Amino acid sequence: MTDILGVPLPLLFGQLLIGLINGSFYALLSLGLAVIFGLLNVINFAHGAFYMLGAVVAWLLLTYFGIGYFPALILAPLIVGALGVTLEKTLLSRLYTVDHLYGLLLTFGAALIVEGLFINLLGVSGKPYNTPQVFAGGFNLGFMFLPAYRAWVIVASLLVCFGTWLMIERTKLGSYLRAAVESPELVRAFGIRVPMMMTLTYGFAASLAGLAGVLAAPIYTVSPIMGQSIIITVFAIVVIGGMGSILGSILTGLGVGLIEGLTRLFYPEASSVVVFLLMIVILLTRPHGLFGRS
Amino acid sequence: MPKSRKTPTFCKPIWGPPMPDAPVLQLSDLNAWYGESHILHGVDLRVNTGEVVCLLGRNGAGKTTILRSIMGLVDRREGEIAFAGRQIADARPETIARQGIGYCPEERGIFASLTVRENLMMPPVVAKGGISLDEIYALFPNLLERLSAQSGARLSGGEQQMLAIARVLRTGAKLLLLDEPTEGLAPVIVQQIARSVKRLKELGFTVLLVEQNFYFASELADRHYVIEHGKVVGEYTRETLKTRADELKLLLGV
Repeated sequence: MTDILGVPLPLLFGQLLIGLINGSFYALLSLGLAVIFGLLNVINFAHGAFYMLGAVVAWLLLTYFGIGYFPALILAPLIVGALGVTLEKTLLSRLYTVDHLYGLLLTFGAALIVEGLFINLLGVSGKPYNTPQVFAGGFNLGFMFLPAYRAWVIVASLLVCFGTWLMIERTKLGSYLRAAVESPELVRAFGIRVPMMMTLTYGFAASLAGLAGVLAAPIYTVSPIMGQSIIITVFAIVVIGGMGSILGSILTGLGVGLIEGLTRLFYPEASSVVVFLLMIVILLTRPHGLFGRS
Repeated sequence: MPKSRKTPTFCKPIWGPPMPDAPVLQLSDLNAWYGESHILHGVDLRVNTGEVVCLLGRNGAGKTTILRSIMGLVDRREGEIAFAGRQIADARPETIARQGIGYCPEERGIFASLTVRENLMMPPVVAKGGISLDEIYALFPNLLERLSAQSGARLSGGEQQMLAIARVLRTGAKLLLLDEPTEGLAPVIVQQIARSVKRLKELGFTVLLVEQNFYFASELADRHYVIEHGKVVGEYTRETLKTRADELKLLLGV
C-alpha cells in the first residue's frame, strides 16, 4: 500500500473527506456570518444557535410529526429563517443606531437563551438522526469508500454557497445588497427599502445556518450544544477570510476544514487549535484577512 | 451590441411647459439636526417647476444639509417640506425618493463594488417618463465607452459625476438635487457638466443645485439663495446676481 510521509493513502483521503465535510458546514455558516456582518454590521453570535435549531427542528419534526428528511430540508430552514426575521425585526433593528457591541451582546444573549431552553427540554446528550434511506451505501472510488450521504452534503452545501455568491455578485438584487453594504443611506435615497432588505438578509443567513444544521443532523448527533462547539471555529474562519468577504468566507471555510483534517492526521494534538494559529498568523500578516479589503 | 445608438432628438420637454410660480418644492421654517448639533435654523425657500435654483454659501453653511434634509437623511427634522403638494418632512428616505426626487450626493456616491453598468441601472424607476438609456448615452457619450468597467471606482471624477447624474435621469424623478457637481473637476469637464444641466432644464427637469463654483452657478441658475449659518440670508435672480456680484462675492468669500 502506498504511503505518504508514513501515512497510508486511504487514511489520508479519509481525513480529507472529513475535512471537506466539516469545511462544507464552515462555509455555509461563515457565508451567513459574512453577509450579516457586511450589511448589518452585526457580529451574529446567534449563528451557532440557528445551526443547532436547524438540526433540532429537523429532529423534532421527525420524532413528533413524522416529517422526514427531505421536507425538513425545506421546513427547518424556513422556520429558523422566520425566527431570524423575528429577532431582527423586534430586537436587533433597534440597536443599529448604537454601538455595534450591543448587537453582539443581544445575539449572544439570544443564543444562550435558546440553547438553555433546549438543554432544558432535551438534555445535552445527543439524539440520533438516521441517514435517509436513499443515501444508504456509497461509492467505491478505488482509493477510498465515499458514503453517499457525505457526498450529498458536500455537493449540496457547495451548490448553496456558490449559488448565494452568484446571486450576490451577478443579480440586480445582489447589486442592491452590495450597494447597501457601501452606503445604506444613499441606497435608501434611491427608493430602495434597505431596512426590509436587512431583515430579509438576516433571515436568509439564519436559514442558511438552519440548512447546515439539517444537513449535519445525520452526521453528528443532534444536540442543543452542537452550535457552541462549531461557532467559535466559524468566527475564526470569518476573521481569516476577511470580515464581510463572501467568496473569502466560503473558500476559507473549505480550506480550514481540509487543514484541520490534515492536522488530525499528521499532528492530532494540534487539530483543534490549528484554526486559531492560522488566525493569529493571518492577523499578523494580513490584518484585513485573506480576501478582505481595507 | 447590435442595437444602433442613434443620437436622439430632444425636441420637446417631457413634462410640458414649465409653470412659473408653481412651487414644486417648498421648505418652510426647516430645522435639522445631526445628533445634538442643530444645523439648519428655519430655512425658507421654494423651487418652481422647471427652474434651476442654486444654493450658494461658504463651507459648512448648511447647503448640503438642506439637500440631505429634503431626502430625509438627517437625524431629526422640524418644519415643513412640501414636494408636489405633499408633505414629506416626516417621510423616510425610500418613500421620499419614490415621490420622484433624484439625488446626486456630495462626492458622487458611485459604488465601487458595482460595475459601471450596475451603478447606472441601480436606482429603481419611480415614475414614468424617465430618460431612455440611448438618450443618456447621447447626453454623456463617455459613459457608453466606460460601461463595461468592472468597478465604478475605475472611472475618473468627471465620469463618476456624469454617472451619478445619469443614473437618476433613468428613474423618472422630476426634481434633481445635485450636490456640488463640479467639485474637484477640471474646467473642461465643468463645462461639459454645465451643458448637460442646461440640457436637463430644456428637457423639463427642475434642479436644485448646491455649488461652490460661482461662475458655474451664475451661468446656469435662474435663482440663487445664499445660505449662511443654516439660514437663507439672501435671494438673487439671474439679473440681480450680475448687478450685485461684488456684494455677493464678498458674502461668499470668493
